Amino acid sequence: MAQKVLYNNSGRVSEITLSSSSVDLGNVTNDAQIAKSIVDAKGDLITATADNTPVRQAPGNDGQVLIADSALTNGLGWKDLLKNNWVTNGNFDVAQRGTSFTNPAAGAYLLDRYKCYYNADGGSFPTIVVSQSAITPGDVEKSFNCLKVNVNGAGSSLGNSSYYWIYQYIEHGTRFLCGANKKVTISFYAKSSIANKKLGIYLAQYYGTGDSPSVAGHKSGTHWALTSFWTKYTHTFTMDTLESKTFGTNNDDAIILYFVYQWGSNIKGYVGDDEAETFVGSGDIEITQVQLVAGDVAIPFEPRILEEELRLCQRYYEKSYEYGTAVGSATSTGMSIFLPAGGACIVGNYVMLATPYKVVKRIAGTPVIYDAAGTSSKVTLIHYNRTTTNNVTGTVSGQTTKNFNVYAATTATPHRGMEYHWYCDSEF
Amino acid sequence: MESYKHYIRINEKNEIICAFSSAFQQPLETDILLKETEDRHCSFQVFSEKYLGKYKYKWINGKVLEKTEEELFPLEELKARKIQLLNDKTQGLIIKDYPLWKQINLLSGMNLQDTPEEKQKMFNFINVLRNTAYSLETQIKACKTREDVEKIEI
Repeated sequence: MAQKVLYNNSGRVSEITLSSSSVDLGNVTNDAQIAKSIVDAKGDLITATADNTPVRQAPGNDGQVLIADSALTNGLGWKDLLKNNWVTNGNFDVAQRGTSFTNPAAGAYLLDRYKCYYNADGGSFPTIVVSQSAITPGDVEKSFNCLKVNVNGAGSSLGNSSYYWIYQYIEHGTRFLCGANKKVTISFYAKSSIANKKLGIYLAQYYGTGDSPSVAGHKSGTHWALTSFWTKYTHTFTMDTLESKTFGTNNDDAIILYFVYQWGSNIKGYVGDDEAETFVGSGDIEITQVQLVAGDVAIPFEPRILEEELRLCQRYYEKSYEYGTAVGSATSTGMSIFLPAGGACIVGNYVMLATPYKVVKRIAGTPVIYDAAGTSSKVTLIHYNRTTTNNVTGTVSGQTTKNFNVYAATTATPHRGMEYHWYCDSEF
Repeated sequence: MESYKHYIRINEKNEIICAFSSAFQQPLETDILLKETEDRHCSFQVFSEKYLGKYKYKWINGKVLEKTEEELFPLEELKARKIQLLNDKTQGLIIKDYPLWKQINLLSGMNLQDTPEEKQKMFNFINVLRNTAYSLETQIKACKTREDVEKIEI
């Protein structure tokens, strides 16, 4: 005959049923079970810190999502809903200006959206070649290209204020990503064939131009000694408050993400180092999968489809030439042509052509035109018999974010139209 | 931030024919430095928005000056353009009713079906149009102001 026994175990009333053949332990609490008291509020979860070590996971704030994060004690953390990658061309797949740049000028743009600036401060840089370089398939999942900086030496007598950085303006980054206690996280893969080569990063919180905007705030970053293997690096920045800050009237605030390849002793603080860094020696420094996201978690990099990435880049730079054809090449393929059907010949007058862009530009920018021979600020006239004349001066005017006009003084030879190549730079 | 130089180029009439930033073009010795700035892009527009193909500014005594309306589009040029428009319009009206082949037929008598009355009718039509055009052309030439030229309907 079964008997029921009620007893108190740590404040709980449990029930044991005794029978002649067995003992049913019911809901007795012991080491094999998790105590109810581990949770004490709505939304609590139970996770673990280690084997056989359950722990309470308190709920996050409204709108946060649960992220696996091995760096946390619990292995899980509540984070703000993650945003997209704010870096354009983070995988270095788009190279409208060309794929290799030897000793680029300070201020020159390189692969789309990336610009270089430097100061040897009385010293000399080595020969520097910045290029789009293919990654061995499988080396970095979801990447086929990287930005490679090749140097033939360390450089010499680089001054205390010397630096060499490659950077990207992240349009409207300040207004959308900055503020008191807001965080952004940078992540990227890098490697170097130069032993012990360091690479640094830092950010600028830039308020734009026009009228009298607040001075940009520089956010000191960090640096790493690279290895010869692709390694993922991440760093989280806490951004400055926007209170009492004035944005420029030109609507061009940005976060500027700097990769610092060399720094003098006056610059070392930008990258959290306590000593200056040269290029160390000859070899390559390569980066890919550059990402900046809101919050403090480096989410996995997800490449965009090429068409989307190209379109994002074309907001800042677009050209009439075929994708792989360098600006200024002698070719007529892809030229904008003004040739009215059955139109009368034009002699000794101005002709004008409005060229529309495929993508609306950030600003009206600077369109530059070329004739079929590749000479800048010139157009090619088309004559009535379809012969052409190069090297006719053309002037760009009336540029907007959507199009630009070209005026050309015609020659005495009657002609029916004109054609020209162009690019438009609307970068920062 | 980086610094850039914005230059202008002038012609023999001191008209500003080109403006550019050092980020995109290197200056000639004769180019004039307009300003140093953080702006990579030079937004200076050399052409008039109102008068296509006309340079809008001149460089006088070290300053950029906007041309006056008269400088941009002189009264005599306005008159010449209006008379040209008048002639084009008159010619268009004649051609519309009497295409060239029809005029030749009427003048030569090649088409036996054409009558002398029809030929006279064509003469009258053309004369009326030409007289009207001549009268308007005289009025245009006599105008003393741009407004007077603009008022004449053709």
